[in-house]
Amino acid sequence: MILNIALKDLKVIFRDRKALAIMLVMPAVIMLILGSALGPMFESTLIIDKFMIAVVDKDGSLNSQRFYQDFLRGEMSDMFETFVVDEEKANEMLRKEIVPSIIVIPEEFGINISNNSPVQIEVRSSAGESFKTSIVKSVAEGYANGYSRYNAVSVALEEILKDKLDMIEKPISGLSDRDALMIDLQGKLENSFIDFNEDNQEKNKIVTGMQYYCAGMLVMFVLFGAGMGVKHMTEERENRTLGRLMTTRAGKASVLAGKFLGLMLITFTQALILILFTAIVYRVNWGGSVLGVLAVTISCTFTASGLGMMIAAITKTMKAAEGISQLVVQLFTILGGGMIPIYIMPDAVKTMSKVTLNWWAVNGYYDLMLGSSFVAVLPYCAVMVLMGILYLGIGVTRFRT
Amino acid sequence: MGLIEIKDVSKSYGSLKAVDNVSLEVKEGEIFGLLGPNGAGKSTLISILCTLLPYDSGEVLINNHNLKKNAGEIKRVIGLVPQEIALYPTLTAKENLMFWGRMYGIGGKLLRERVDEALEIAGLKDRAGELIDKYSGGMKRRINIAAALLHHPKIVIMDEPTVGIDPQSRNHILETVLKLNREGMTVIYTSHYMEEVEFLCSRIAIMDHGKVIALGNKEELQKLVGRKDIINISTTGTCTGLEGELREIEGVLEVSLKDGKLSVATKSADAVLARVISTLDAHKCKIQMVDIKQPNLESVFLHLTGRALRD
Repeated sequence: MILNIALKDLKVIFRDRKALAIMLVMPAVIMLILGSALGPMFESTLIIDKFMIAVVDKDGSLNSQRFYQDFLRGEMSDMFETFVVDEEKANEMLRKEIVPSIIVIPEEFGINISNNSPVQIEVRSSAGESFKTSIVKSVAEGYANGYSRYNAVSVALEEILKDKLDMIEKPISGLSDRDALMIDLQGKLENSFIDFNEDNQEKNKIVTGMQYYCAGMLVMFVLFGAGMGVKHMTEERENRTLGRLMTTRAGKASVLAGKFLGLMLITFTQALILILFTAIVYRVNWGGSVLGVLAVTISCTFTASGLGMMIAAITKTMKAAEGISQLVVQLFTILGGGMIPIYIMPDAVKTMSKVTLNWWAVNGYYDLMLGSSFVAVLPYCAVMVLMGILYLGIGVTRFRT
Repeated sequence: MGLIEIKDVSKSYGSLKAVDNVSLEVKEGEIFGLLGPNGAGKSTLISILCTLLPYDSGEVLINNHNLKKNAGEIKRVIGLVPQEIALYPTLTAKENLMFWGRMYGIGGKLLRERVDEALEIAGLKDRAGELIDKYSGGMKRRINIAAALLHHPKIVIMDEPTVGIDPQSRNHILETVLKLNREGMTVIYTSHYMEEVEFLCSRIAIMDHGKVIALGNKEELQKLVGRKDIINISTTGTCTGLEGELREIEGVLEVSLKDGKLSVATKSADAVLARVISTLDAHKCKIQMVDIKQPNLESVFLHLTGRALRD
């Protein structure tokens, strides 16, 4: 009986052309418009091609060579194309915007490193391409600060451990006590197990505009789909089919279970169609974990259906149910970051966003899009299911026929 | 012992007593009429019988099952025809009947047979594949009734089943009710239309303000009023002071005049009509319409409550 009620609801809603347009056609169109129009804004902050920077080496020491050869041309070679030129040539290239930035290694660079003095690297940038120049500044400052911090720590340690320095084994004869201490410390730290978490590294990436809006709009329209179900449910209360159901052998429990399952079937079918459509037609990458996408989608539709049952239970008329559903959908979508990225919102909004289904579902999808596994999105699913149980509990206890 | 026994049942909504200490017995095989104006308590009583509403006090036994203890058993023997068209408009008549049949626990070949039978009863077998939305009001009402018959209930409760339909569909529904009753089904029938109740029902309960104010067959109820004809005359002009003169006419029992509408109760309309008209003529009252009514349930209700049934 439960399945019969659910399948009947699915049939009823899929024969409603207006509902179908709102649930399937409208999201497909809005995803395309928002994804295409606002996509480049996302992508410009994401995909930075390898770019040239000029390096002026005023120092010419072994330390400046190490910075240039090992660091800039080695570790950072995926990001920068670097070459050494004199200062005049570098300034000219900067003025002509051949390079967005130049790095100037000052004369005392090597000496400062050796003397444990503060280390500085100068970066000169053009007015345009602020994103690229900020990357160069961060890299140069990071390198210089690393040395400065190293020097500050070693001086402090030497001061603290001055009575015990002679106990430290010197691997190379002639090594100062301080250098021997730092080599010893470095060895001990390397032996400690430090796990580099790839998932955390992935979080520094951001999804594309199309991915962002497909996930955001999917959750918003799943809520709209649940709203359609709510409208039909309250309509059934008004035309007494719900009351008539109660006079049949299907008891209240079967009717409520059937209605909830019906809402889940409606929203899950809708979500699945939209995910497949956007993956095939818009070439949206929903991530490599099919199981993960299914888990987030099922959790999301479970919660949306629970929310639908609650709205149907607390509203008396079809109009009231429609009004409240639309208000909740829009509020949740804005708060949950479905329309505007949540990281540009004030802190209070960021905190509030976590009470919405949208935040958890959308972030679950984003993580999957960025390569996270099924297991990684389980916490999002757990929170959504808990929300759904709460909504459903309120709905079931307050439901009238 | 009756098929349905209602003993001292009450149901209140806050301070409003919707059903006030009602006792009734419906016998197996009869068509029992519930008559009363809006707000009389008919629908509340029907909702109680259909297990939709809990009652505050009293006892209800249906087919020897206590309603509070054995609602499940009672649902097997009851079929409800709600006042509203409780069908899914975007499904076809056949899809609707298949769904409701499943809800009554019928399946497989038996369900298909019962759906065919119900469509036959509704006279809509050839249009079974059309959406309910495309049906006329009368056709919808016929499917609304058919949906309550799928599980072959012992008792069918019909709440205003002919509201807002064409005469042809009304006749079809009334014939269907009689046919079902001839086949052994017990029917509880509520309506605003007293002619329908008079035509169909073997016994009638008249309800007002949550109470049963009269109960019996048509003849028994008419005896409450006595054998009286009512002459209703619509007039214009000044007719004040006329009532006293009319009461003096031999054979006139009661006279009332309100807003130009004169009502004269008499043992025989034929015997007094000429003198009533000449009295009006003498007072220069212009007659617009004359209507003579034999005693009926309307006059019973008027007699018992002082109000018309549709007030």
